[in-house]
Amino acid sequence: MRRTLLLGPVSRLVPAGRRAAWRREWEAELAHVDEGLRAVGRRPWQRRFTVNLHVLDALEDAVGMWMRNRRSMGLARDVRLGARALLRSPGYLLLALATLGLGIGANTAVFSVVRSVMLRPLPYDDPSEVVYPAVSFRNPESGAERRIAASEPEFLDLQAADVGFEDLGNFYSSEVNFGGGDEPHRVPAAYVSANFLGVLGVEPAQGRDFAAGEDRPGSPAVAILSDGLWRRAFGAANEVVGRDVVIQGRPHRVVGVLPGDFVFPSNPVDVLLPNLIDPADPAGRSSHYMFMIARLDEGVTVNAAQSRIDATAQRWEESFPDRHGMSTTHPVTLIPIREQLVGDTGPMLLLVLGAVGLVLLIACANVASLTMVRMEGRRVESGIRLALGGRLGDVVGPALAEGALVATAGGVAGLALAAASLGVVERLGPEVLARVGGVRIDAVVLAFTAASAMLSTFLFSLGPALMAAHTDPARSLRAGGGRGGVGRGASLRRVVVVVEIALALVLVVGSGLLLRSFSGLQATDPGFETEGRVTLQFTLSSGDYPDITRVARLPPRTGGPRTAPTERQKLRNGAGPPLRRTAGDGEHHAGRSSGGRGRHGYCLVPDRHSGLVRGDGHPPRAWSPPRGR
Amino acid sequence: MARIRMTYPTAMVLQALFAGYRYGFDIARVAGLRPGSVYQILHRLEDAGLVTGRWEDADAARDDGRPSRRYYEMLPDAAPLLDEARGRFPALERVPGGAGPELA
Repeated sequence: MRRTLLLGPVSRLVPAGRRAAWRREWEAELAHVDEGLRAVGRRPWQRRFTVNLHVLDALEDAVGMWMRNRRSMGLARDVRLGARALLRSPGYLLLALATLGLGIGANTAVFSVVRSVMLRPLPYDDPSEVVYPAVSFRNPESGAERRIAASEPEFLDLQAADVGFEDLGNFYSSEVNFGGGDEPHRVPAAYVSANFLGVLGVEPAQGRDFAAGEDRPGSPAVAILSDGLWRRAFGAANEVVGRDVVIQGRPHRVVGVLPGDFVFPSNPVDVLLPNLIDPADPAGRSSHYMFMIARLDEGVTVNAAQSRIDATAQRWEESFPDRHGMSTTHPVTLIPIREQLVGDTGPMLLLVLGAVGLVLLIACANVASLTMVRMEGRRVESGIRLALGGRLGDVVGPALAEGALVATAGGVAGLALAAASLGVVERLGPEVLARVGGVRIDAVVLAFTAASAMLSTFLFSLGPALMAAHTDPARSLRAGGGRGGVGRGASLRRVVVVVEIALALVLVVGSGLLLRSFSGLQATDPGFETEGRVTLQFTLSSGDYPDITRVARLPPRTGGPRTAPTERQKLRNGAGPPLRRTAGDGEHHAGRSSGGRGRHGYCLVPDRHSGLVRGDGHPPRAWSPPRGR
Repeated sequence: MARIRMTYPTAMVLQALFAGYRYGFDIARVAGLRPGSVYQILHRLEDAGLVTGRWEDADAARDDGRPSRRYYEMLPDAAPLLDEARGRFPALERVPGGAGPELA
């Protein structure tokens, strides 16, 4: 085996810690080359020449290792210098940290919400095929159109029609008394058609889905529990399926438990109950209380299904011209489920994201101003480095590393701020912001925060760093850090100030417009007096209160016991203004023997017998006292 | 694990390792790359935790009258990167499969 003498000097380029192994590896490889050449009959000088040529390969490898080591060593040095410089200026550090923390935190929080509401995949099988057939009420006089719920006949019509649906289900949200005793728990629930989970493509994690026919009157009372309720109420007991639980005062057999990641299309629910509909005897065509959800046939587009459904809606208009005592049309619009869930909040969220993006830019501009002042004070230091032969990277590197440290700390502070604020956002509830229940900081949000911090680093520290690097060493040293390079620094500061003012102006104008819109919404006349009005809402089990005349009087509003009585106690003991049941779903449902839908909402004004009434799935309605009072 | 930029030469080296070539010069030969480049790539991949190197048994090498060589192997973390690279660089199929022959 021939050894080359050139490998030794070349190995000096390799970092000391890896040098011995590197040299051993290359000696073995060159020996192998030599052996291969010998085996094919090459002469000694030919072998030596070829092996020495291969030292060029070793040189290439060694240079590469040297450059990588230099880069990593240089970065470590810059970070060390940057950290020392920051610790010498705690005031600057705290101010920059707070400013960037607020900016990055606001962006992280809003992005978390945007991701949860708009970007997170829906937990349904092929959600692009799931649509909301939304029924609208179009007033022929004013032309105004607003979304309303669907009625049972409309649902049955669409179910029977060939409009391109693979399956059509229905649902409406409610609350139910869960458990027995005087103080049952109130839990959010939904009444759904038996095929509801099938339309969404969701299977229960335990037990089974509702069977066909279990959403018909007279079928056994069954329920499916959410994963959360199963854990809270039953301690995640395995044998919950098949047990009877009391819901709305009646025993229901638990047939299944939903998956933990299940998301109800509107608000979160803990119990699914069958929505009992008798196709032979549906409720009135004007009784709009439920929503529909459909899965399109394979290959059918939303537009194709829409054109078919328009024909069906047209037939309704011709067949039932006087459903509400006036000539109305009920167009049905197919809305992709994601669009329906996000609704109008999508553009608003993007607007807010843009606004907090501006806030971050302003924060960066502020920190850039502070950093420039710092760099002015360090001109002598930069001048000395450059005078001693330092390169551009030797001045820019530590400044950028310093900026990266500040931005990283700001990112961490922002993350903590965002995490704290998400609890507040989550309390808004799905009524205000769809899918807000799942808002959390995950890997994508962390990546966003890291990207924000990185962008901030360049925004606020690159300019000042380059300003410092373009210092004239002699001038800086003569000026002693006082006025060295005033011209360039002052110009940059002026640019930053102008940018900052421009951004702030955009933000202020945008905020003003938003406030004006909000104020306009607040000032909208609802059509009744709101001053001094309060609302209360209570739910009575139709099992316990089959006769609505028992709901006669409420207790006086003043002088009551300190501890609020249950609604049931109030009704049993109290005396107050008489209530009149309202038309609508309360009346519609009260007569049904299936139970579970005895929900009646009243809004009272103690001193005036007028107010509001609210029922499930219905917009508020004006309530007026019985005649003669 | 450090990030690695999946260039064509890097993908060729991974493909050669996948095919069973374990020495720097063998890989350079089948991949058509300069040995110096191959070693740089191998060292970068090793730093990134995508390949591992181990020294050949010293006794076996001594019996053959040569110094111990360093064998490289692809680690499982590199497999998805190689899959992705195959999609980007169809010419990777140039590297023959199977165990690599010893340098003759």
